[in-house]
Amino acid sequence: MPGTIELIKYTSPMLEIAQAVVEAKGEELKKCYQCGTCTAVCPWGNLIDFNPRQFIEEIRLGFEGFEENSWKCVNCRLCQDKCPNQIDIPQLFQSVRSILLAWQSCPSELNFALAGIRSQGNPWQEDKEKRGEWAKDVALPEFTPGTEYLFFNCCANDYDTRNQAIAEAAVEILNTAGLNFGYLGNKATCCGDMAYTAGENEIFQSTSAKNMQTFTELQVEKILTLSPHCLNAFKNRYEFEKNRPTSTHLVETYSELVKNEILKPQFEVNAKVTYHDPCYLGRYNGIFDAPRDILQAIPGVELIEMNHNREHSFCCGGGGGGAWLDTVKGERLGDLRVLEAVEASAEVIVTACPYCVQMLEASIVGLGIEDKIKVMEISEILLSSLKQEEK
Amino acid sequence: MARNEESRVGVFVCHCGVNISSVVNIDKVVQAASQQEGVVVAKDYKFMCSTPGQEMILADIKEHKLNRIIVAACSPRLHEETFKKVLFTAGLNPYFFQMANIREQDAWVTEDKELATGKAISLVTGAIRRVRLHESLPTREVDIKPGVLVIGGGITGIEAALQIADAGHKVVLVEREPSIGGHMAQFDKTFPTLDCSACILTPKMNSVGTHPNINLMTSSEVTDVSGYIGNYDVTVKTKARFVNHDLCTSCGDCMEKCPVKVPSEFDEGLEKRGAIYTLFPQGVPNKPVIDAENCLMLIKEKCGLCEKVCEPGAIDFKDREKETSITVGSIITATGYKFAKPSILRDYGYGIFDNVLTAPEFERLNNSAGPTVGEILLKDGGKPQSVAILHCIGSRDKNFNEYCSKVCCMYSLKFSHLVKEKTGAEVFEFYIDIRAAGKSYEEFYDRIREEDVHFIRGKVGSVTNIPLNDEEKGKLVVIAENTLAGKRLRVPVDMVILSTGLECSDGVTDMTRMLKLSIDKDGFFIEKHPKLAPTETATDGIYIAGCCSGPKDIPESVASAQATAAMALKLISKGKVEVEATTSWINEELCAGCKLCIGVCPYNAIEYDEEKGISILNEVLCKGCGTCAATCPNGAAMARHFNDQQILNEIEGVLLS
Repeated sequence: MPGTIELIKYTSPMLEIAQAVVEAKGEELKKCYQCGTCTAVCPWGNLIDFNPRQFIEEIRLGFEGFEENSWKCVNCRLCQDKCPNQIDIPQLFQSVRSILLAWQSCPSELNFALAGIRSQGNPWQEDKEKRGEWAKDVALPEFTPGTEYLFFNCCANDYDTRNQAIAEAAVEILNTAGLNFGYLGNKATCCGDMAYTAGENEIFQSTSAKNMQTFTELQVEKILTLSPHCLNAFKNRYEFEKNRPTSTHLVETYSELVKNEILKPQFEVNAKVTYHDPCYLGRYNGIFDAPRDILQAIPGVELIEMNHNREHSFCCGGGGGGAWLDTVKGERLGDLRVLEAVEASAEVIVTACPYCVQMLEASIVGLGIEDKIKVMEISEILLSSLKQEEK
Repeated sequence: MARNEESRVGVFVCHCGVNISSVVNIDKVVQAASQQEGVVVAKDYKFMCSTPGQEMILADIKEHKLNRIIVAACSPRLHEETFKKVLFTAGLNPYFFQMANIREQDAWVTEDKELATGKAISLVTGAIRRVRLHESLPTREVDIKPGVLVIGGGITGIEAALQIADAGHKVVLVEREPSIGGHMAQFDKTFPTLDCSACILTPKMNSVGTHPNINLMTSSEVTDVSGYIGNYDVTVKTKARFVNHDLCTSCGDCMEKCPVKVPSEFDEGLEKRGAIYTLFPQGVPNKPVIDAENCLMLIKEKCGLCEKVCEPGAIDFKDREKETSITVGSIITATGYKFAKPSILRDYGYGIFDNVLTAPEFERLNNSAGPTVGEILLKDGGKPQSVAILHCIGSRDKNFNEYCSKVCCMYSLKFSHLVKEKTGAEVFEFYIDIRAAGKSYEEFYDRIREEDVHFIRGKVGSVTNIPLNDEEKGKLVVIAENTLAGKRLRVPVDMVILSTGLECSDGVTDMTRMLKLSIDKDGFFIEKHPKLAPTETATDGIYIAGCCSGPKDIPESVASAQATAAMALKLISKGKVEVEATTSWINEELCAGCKLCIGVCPYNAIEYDEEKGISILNEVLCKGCGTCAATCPNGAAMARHFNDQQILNEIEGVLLS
């Protein structure tokens, strides 16, 4: 008789949850056969109990408990590449996040960043009228119709004082190569990748619309980006009405210029260097060789590979909104990555993403090993071989 | 019936249970049909294909003196033959018949009853207008040549060849390796009975070798096939063996003396063989061949040791490739499979770490005639204390092969048993689902669980040699999630076996072209019907057996071999086969000899007659595709049963109603 035994606890499926996820671009949910490959390869497995396979099963049946795990995924895409059903697992997280956002259930740090993009066009809530300030004393012309390349810098490199050095190095290299390029200054707004991965489609739509309008007005045909996240947004996520401009990450441009001997690295950089593949540059866009070609062209550089490299690269922890979340010590993916570089006896980690730079540097400081290893963005190490530093 | 004789059409509309009648208003269709010119009777019935349905048509033909019949029902692919037989029984030419497909092309593809009924009426009206122009066509028969060609000498081809040969008919068995036996010869034990593979296979191999009705052609490949059911002309190319098998006594002195050492294909590269070699010691024929790519004499004209030691003088360096022409009535394709080697193997350390083996490599390691005489040993000669078996490597994986390879679960269970029995090691099976559907298979799975094998539900993500603690030092660490416990695992083991799936063998593309077969998205041959004609193909007289149409275990392969043997024997015992009457024909008076039709005919059925200066069509080869009729600028080439007036009438009927 129903109701007589009430001591046993059962959970009833809440199929509305699965339906909502499916409707929020999460149809791939249905393809999962629960083999656990995603969980086996997920970088979080080294630190915390985070289980993408179980997450999928929980949302499929609407079991309690999935909410707290929804914000963990760093979008590194290793799971998707290994998934035998080719499920876009990062997209599943974005679908769930979009539902949670509608329920106004979102970590406060992310809320801050999203509000920043909404009001100021950058995730730090910095003044949108001051985006171009760093470039005042740099030989960086404004982009006008007819300029060949648009140099798209990334919010991090526009506002963060450490990262501005990367932008300056990049501009100097492009000037050395004699490229015809220009900068949008305050006319630019965040590419919106962070909003996209946080499941905030509305903000992504409005910020991408703003940029697309600017590109159209200024007749932008070729974009050079310093951030793999901007690159991926322009290349794969923006819904251009007419012609999509070609987007290139600067590592590809540099590599081409070095190959054609327009840039000639000549000054020695004597260091054991390892290259950290940013997820959005490597796994997402298949760019693995260009940065390595550049490093190998620099005299004195001894290129060492870490255990996780190229397609198997290990995330810095900054993707999918991870850069904005407060993560307690001992639970930082960046720490593991830095330690892996130290273990490989590298002295310099070179990478090609503003967020990877920030995450890895924060880990080095947190671990207190600044004397052992440092981080350089690819533009910085390349420039130091092109021009002797003034001492 | 003369063309101007009054046509008396009977229309029979089928409900197909509720398949048609739930969407199409049958009454309206019957009513519309009965109003068409020439229609004498229009009726409906619940199942027209049933015996009462057929009898109703038969009775109406007699009663109303019908001379044209329409059945509005399913696809002609299903029941055209059924109803043609009814006409034949009634004494009418079977071609005075037309089917209107109101199921697949109508009822099944819409829920809109009004539109469906309208379309049914259109199709039936078209059929009525068409059938009135149908002409009587003669049935034709061709003789069946009694020989059968079997391509592939694995267990499937062996079984098919023996069945036909034992029935007293000639078989040519073509095998590209120097010996028959196939993959089964590489295995030591077979699941689920664990009986010795060689013990059950070699008697059959020997029977093939000595059978008076079997012409065994090893080191040979089929290079050309032409003709049609009952009369296939086949060209077989035999590689130069450089050993005269008529003189060779199988003493083996030559193989001992050969100084060349190359990886043995049969031993999956785990052992070496000479340039003069037999595939394996129990091979049939058990006589060596020389591998021209590695023989020093053949490459550099230095050495000749084998020639010196061969007492009967069987070595013949002047041997050359031979071509043989044969004619057979039917062909059985048993080209089998190969083990997949997906790029994902590297994620599991294959080719990087020692002691990561694929399934066929483990089979050889475990074989009593293999490189370790059947002992399961690590590369350093030690015994493993722990072994991981990884299921679904490259199978059930959209990045590689989406399909389930069907046999891996069972052979993995067999591996577990063998490791336990021979080494006592701890065994971990990492699986997604255990598929043990087969006679005594579930019981075998039970038995292996009781043997203390550890089953972990979860696909392995990677294998590493980087230790996190002392226990993992010097080990291969298998990383996976135990999905039932929701826990990540790192399992240190000494040996990893990768259960790789099955893929169609190399050379399938050539077979496809020669035999006019089609392959599915996975590369396997497509059956004529997946359920009801699983060993037949779209080409009459060409049959498929074993793994060439999809992964199968040994019992299934043998059963399919026997099925194809029955097919081939059926043809032989009939002696003749009826062929399609709806061929094309060329009106000699209209033909200008432009040869356009010769170029477009996909069946090489048209030849040019130099004397008459016109094209001549071979009706036995013609499949009635109509390409020549569509191409001919003079209207000389015409397709029977599909002439312009018939087709125009049908279109008119469809459009007007």
